[in-house]
Amino acid sequence: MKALWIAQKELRSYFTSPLAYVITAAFLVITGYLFALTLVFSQEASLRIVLSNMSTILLLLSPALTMRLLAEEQRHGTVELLLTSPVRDYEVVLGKYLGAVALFACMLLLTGLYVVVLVQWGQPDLLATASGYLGVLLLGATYLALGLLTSSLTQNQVVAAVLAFALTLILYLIGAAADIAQRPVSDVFRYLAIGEHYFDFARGVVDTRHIVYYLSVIVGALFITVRSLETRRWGS
Amino acid sequence: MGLVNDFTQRHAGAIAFFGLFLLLMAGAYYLVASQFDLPMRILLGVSAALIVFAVMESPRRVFAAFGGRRLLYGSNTLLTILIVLGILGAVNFIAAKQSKRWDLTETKQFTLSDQTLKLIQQVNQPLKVKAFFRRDNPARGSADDLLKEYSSRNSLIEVEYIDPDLNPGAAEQLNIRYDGSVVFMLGDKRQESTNTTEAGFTTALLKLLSNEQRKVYFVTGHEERSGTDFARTGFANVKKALEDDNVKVEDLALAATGKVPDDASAVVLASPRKPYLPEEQDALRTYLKDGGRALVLRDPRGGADLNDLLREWGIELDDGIVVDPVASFMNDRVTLVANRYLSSPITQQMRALSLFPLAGQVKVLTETQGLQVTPLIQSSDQSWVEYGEEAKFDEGKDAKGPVPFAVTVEPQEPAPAPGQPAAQDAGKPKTRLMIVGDGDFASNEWTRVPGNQDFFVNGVNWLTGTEDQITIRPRPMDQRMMVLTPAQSNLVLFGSVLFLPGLVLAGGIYTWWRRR
Repeated sequence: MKALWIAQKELRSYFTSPLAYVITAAFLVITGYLFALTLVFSQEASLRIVLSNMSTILLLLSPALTMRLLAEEQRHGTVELLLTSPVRDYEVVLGKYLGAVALFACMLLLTGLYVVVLVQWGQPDLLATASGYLGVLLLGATYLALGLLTSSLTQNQVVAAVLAFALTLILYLIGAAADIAQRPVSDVFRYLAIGEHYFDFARGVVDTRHIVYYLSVIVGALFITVRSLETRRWGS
Repeated sequence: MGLVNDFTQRHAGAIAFFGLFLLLMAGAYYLVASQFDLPMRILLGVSAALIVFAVMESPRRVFAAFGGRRLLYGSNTLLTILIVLGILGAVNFIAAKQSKRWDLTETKQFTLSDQTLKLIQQVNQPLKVKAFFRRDNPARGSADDLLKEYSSRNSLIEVEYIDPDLNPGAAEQLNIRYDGSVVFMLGDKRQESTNTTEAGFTTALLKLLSNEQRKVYFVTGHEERSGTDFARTGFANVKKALEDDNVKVEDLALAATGKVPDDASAVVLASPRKPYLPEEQDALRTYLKDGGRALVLRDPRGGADLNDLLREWGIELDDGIVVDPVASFMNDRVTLVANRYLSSPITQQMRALSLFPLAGQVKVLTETQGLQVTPLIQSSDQSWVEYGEEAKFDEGKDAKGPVPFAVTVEPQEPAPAPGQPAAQDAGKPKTRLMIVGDGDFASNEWTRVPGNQDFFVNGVNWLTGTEDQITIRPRPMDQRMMVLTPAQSNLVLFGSVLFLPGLVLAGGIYTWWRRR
């Protein structure tokens, strides 16, 4: 499984550069602060608010994680190396994606500290919390897929990050457009809104529709990424 | 000039692409706004102009950009991408119709009762739900959670949130009086619920889906307050309130018809002032004995004498006026204020106080057997019933309070003997009476007090209620309290904000140091 090998390589690359640590630390500072604050003020043994806010924080941080996945290779010219080696395009994409998701999973794992705190001094609804985490995982995985896509479209990392941010933002704002548009277009827009599919998870409700949505966006983004890599073969 | 010309010629391809992009934007704009207005036309014009201009400047380059081998591969890729997106779209569409939902909360907060689920499945035409909540209304969250469950199980149910502050017109249009009201609309029928629990919503849904048309008759012929009277003393407002609640209201000339119609869900005696003929009393008597429902409103000193009929139901209404120095409106001791309602299904949902100007007491006779009389509103301990002309308590003439001035009467359920099954006529409708010692509380000039209108409508609702009430027990709010000592709070704060991120940063610094 060449993809797994690539994933490992990518993960190792993350861990040997300060970037991932800085981003993870920033993520933990913000969510940690939120966690402590809501705990003191709401006195509720629940991660619902923290998890809901994580979606916004991830929106800002994930482009930073994905920007170097494919853009850098293009700049350093190593993408030709990768493309001409006996590794298929889709294995490259899948491998890089899995590497990023693995890092993201580690970040989430570290927030398990909050759950430990809740369990220690309160009685949280564990299944509902698990549902919330599932939602964040899917949401983050979607952001990462979109980020990987934009990373494949350009040689410049910063452009990749900005595009990733813009793309995700569009998917958020399409929900606002749904308020203005008429049916049936507004229904489509509302369905496409990436934020709408997250609320149920945060409450403790798992609905197959949301899972299908997130997986679809991920599959779609990865597919387009593979195609985008292919176009590089045509050369200039 | 030459420089610009050169530039446009070289980049004709890019210009053409930009024009195409603008064309797509116009399409997107049309999708969202569905109008073909000025900005749209400008976009279209500019995009067309750009494309034409580009082609004129350098047709070769434009063709090279759009045509050629790259386009072949490019369009192939685009096609496959569109196909894949189409497949994903179809998958999502199917998944939306065939979805499964799991409520993982421990207290099953988001699981609807079977009763509700069955009702939701019965909805077979578009059901619009308009929820009026102010932005800071704390009940909005739980109502939203609930309504999401309703709408996710039937695609015909659509929920819309309206802030009455931002959109007062919409609230006025639907006669919304309270913040936190939800209106269900099916076809041209509508039901409002100020009770934002599952029981409240499902009750509204039940009423909406029920095919029974509740019909209430206002008896006429005795100078009663009329539903067609829009003057200050008329009952047009409460009539409209009933019609808004899906109740049909008609007049009943009892003297002419001789009996109460079979389709009557209830009758209303709206402050009659002339006496009832014996035949009319008999008609009412028969109606009531046979499981009839009646709302009796009588103003003291001027109202007709209904005691022949009422005594059979354990009630007497006389011409004493309740004077209450405490529970009254401002300085007017004879306009009674009701803000503490005694427990009953009618008053359970009362959200506002109601005012009763010049009310008489509803005397409960203690001799009658087999009747269950429930007071709804009572005057305070300092009140008394005044039989004279001056509002002064005269020992011996006036009666001391507290006294009820609104009651309900029902036949008492005979307790079955131990071991025996319940009474045979358990399926027959039971008589219900609601008697209020005042009529003007529901008149047009007094229904500006919101509680007044509610009291009237709730009363009619109770009277016309069907026996199979909704019995959905409210789910307890799942509040998992967790109180930390200051020491613990600090520990959490430092641990989450400093320690954990610090560890990670330390890792980062280590790797950076290793690299050097």
